[in-house]
Amino acid sequence: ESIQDRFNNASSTQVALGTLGAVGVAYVTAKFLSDPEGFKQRLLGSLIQAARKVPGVAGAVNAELEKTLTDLEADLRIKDDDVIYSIPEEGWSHEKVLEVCRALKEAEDGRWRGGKVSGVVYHGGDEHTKMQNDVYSLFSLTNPLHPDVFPSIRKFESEIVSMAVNMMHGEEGVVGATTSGGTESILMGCKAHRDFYRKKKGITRPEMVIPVSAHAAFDKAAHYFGIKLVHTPLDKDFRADVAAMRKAITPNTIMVAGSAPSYAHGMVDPIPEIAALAQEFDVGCHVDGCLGGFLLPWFNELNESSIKLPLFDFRVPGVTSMSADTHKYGYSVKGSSVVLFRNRELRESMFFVTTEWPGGIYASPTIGGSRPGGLIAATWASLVSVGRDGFIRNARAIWETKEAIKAGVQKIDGLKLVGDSHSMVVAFQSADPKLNVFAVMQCMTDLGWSLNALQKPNSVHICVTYKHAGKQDAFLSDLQNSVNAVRSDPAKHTGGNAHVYGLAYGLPDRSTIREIIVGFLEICLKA
Amino acid sequence: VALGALYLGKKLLLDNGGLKANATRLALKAARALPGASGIVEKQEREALEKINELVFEHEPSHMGSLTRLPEEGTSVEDLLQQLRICREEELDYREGKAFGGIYNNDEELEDMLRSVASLYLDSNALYPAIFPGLRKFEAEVIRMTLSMLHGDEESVGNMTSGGTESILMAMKTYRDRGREEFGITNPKIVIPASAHAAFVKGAHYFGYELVVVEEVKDYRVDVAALAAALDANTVMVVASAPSFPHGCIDPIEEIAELLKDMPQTGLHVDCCLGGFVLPFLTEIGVLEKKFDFLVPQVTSISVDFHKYGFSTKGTSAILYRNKEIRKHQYFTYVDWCGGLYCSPSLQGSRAGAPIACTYSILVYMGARGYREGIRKMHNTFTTIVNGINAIPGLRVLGPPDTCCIAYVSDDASLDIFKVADALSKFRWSVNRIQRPKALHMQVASRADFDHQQFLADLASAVQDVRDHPAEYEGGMAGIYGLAATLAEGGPDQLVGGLLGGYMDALMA
Repeated sequence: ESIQDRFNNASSTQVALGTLGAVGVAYVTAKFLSDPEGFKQRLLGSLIQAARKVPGVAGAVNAELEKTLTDLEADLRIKDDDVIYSIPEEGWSHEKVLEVCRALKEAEDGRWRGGKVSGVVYHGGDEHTKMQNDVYSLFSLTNPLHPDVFPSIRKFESEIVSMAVNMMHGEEGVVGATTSGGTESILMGCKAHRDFYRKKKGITRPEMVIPVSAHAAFDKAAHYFGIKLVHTPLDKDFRADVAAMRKAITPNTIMVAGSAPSYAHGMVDPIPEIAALAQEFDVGCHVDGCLGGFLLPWFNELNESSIKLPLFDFRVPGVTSMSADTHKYGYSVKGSSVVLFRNRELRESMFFVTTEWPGGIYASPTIGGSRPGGLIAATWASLVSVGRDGFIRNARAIWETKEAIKAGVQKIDGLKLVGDSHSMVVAFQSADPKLNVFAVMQCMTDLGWSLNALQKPNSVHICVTYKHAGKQDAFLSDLQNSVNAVRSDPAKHTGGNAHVYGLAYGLPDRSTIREIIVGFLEICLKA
Repeated sequence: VALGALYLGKKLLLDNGGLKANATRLALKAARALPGASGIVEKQEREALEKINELVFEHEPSHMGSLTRLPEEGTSVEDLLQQLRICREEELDYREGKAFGGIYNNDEELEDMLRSVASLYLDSNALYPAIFPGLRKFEAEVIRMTLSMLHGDEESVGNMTSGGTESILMAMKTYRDRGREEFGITNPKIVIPASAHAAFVKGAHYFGYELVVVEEVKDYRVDVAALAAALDANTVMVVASAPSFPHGCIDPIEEIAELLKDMPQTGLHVDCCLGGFVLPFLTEIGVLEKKFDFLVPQVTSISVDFHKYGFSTKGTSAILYRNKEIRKHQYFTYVDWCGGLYCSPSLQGSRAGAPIACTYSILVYMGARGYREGIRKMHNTFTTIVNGINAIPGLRVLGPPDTCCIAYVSDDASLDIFKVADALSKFRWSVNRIQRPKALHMQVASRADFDHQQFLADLASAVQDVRDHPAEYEGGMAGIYGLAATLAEGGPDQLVGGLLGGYMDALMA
């Protein structure tokens, strides 16, 4: 869930070249420096900032920045489409609207239907998709804000939560709510702890201790809710370093967190140790299972000796809240997730209640007011139609595919794993200074794969979904060919996205990067 | 004692006195502190919660069992759809046109089209514009069309959100950060009229704002002098509604704008969540003269919902800004994440694509003419109802309202307006009960199935029935709403909060 996903499918050398130009100063200098993290990097950062203040240079850099963004825009925009700037005076017919939508939809189907995209589409079976469509259609006008008018949506929402609680081994008293997605689930987990500990301990300057591998939504939550976020490093296996977390706890700490698993490396943090810290210091402990929450519980039912996951759910004392996306491995439509709490009191701290509004006494459990009931119904339908046996069957297919990919990657000369891929993500980096892992990724893109580029360290991952089941041999042979191609002609493959990532990630001047991604967001929203 | 205080509270309420409400609050707090008395208050609370439970579970679909864990074996698609169709049929009451339930349109063809479009895009996710470029196009054009409608110039920008609450929250996040980064304001303050949507209070709670609520009104529009008195150097955001949900009144936006001429740190947000697809067309048909949108130079942002009078699917709204310089404070970027460079324009990460495609479709399907003609009819209905209610002895419409919503009170101390709502429910009408002051509330939608003459006739009968048989209406829902409204006027917050917490627990039980 990052900008690279967007860059990924952008076929473009232009984009790459443009970005390369924009950060030209950095590029040239970076060539001469090989220590990306240390003193030189900071020095370089300030040099670039300073250089950008020199009138001529500033103009040149800005012009390049502009060019990068123009190229990016050319790539994201659908060619030759009719752009509408104001509501047409006369409405289009039902048929014309569908014709236009269908044409656009069919044109982009090829971008993911081949089953070569990391993450994004988690099931994609035709029959399942059709069922989801039918259910959504039945409930498309419903809104849980009006439970008296739409009682079935209330039923679905409460049962989705019950099923999730049961799956996460929550005992009596564990409760939850559905949300619009993983970000909202994490935001609500943080908000509940902020308000809970303000009431309980009088903490008004709250802090959270979060491993750097945790999802960016924790940073968003900190930024939104006025919580100081303290990042802690990972251990050598790319799992949270619990000793470092212990040191970071202060009297103002309200919450610690771990991932099950992390987005980047698919590693499950040592949740029992993190939760024990939480108990010792009387703070909350959120386990983020947004990505894998509806997959990991079924791994444990496979009886495979190769599966070695720590406990990560409500069986661990001290875990106070969890997030798990139903729109990922719950195989539901986009826009659905759940957040669970150890008890009602903590959940109540998530609620928003105002008693003074002239429009009536107003209460909402999560962020939204009106919410789409169709998504809730479709989520419920996905869970009950797949059922436990279906979840376990899919989990087995995903596990076997992942194990094969993991074993295969380890055999490829020049690559090594990042972490030990003990869930469904396989992350790998280059083990050879002459082999640029982003160049390998670029080759894979040319072969139709859409993988994710990671930083710290520079690496690439594939998040294995049900759509990948059985495609391990194709993946591995393409990966081996990509490595061979990069080795035989490094110059040929160091263009393209390889440079964008290499530079963006190595670039010490983070504010320039921010400018580029803000520009990217603006392009997305430009008619 | 507690009961006495409550009773007293109710009596005082009828007189609508601010001072007396304060006295009630004090009396209630004192009552709760007395040993024994708090038990009685709690009993009332418990009884209210029981009623709430009944209310929530009354319509529960009964043909399906209750699930607490995933079924061992998956359900077949045929069985599943069969069960769900029954659920849906049981819910179709609103098609009678008597329950409002946030349904703004009941055009079958339009619903069919939205369903077809939604099924095309149900798999899609706006987080990935390179994989789903159609969504990028749809969102950008929806925003442009909406900006044109609300007189945004070329500099104006915006983005879609999941609903009115998110649009409002995003504006608040934007002004908080703009105040800090551009004006060094670390104790941001927001000034809102009491009638502004509850989402502003939510935002203040989320984002650490000092919230100033201007209670004073003139004709149910915020009093400009009182609002002026609340402004200071830390005020980064002022809100006006166009119109307000409770009373359907447009705040004096041009006058508020005048106040902000020399306050560059203060953004003026116009909440058009309700009226965004109403007011522009009222202007076009010559009914509305006031300016409310980007034509007012100090207006810096507007929230507008598509899932209301825009007739789009639920979960669609937009936040619009005068320029990019303001909007950039809404973005969240995190460049050091090991998962990659992370950025998101609004609150969500993954965003459902279907609502975006549906909104694009509905805008081009309706066309400006379709919306205009619908609003022309809606306005005629609205005017007839306002006049009709005012003609019923004992009832009075608050405002007068500008559009969309109508709130009416009892002008007669012997007529409890909430009992009128109970009486209306005998005619199968489901109306909102609102507070401060206690009133009934309805929204006029563009629904062909809504028979307003029948509504007015039933309302007159309901009033007569409450007058003729007051005893029949003791202890109905009027009791609960009355208790809640009374508590809201004067009661300790934790008590009302407890009731609502109980309500939400019931929803999710």
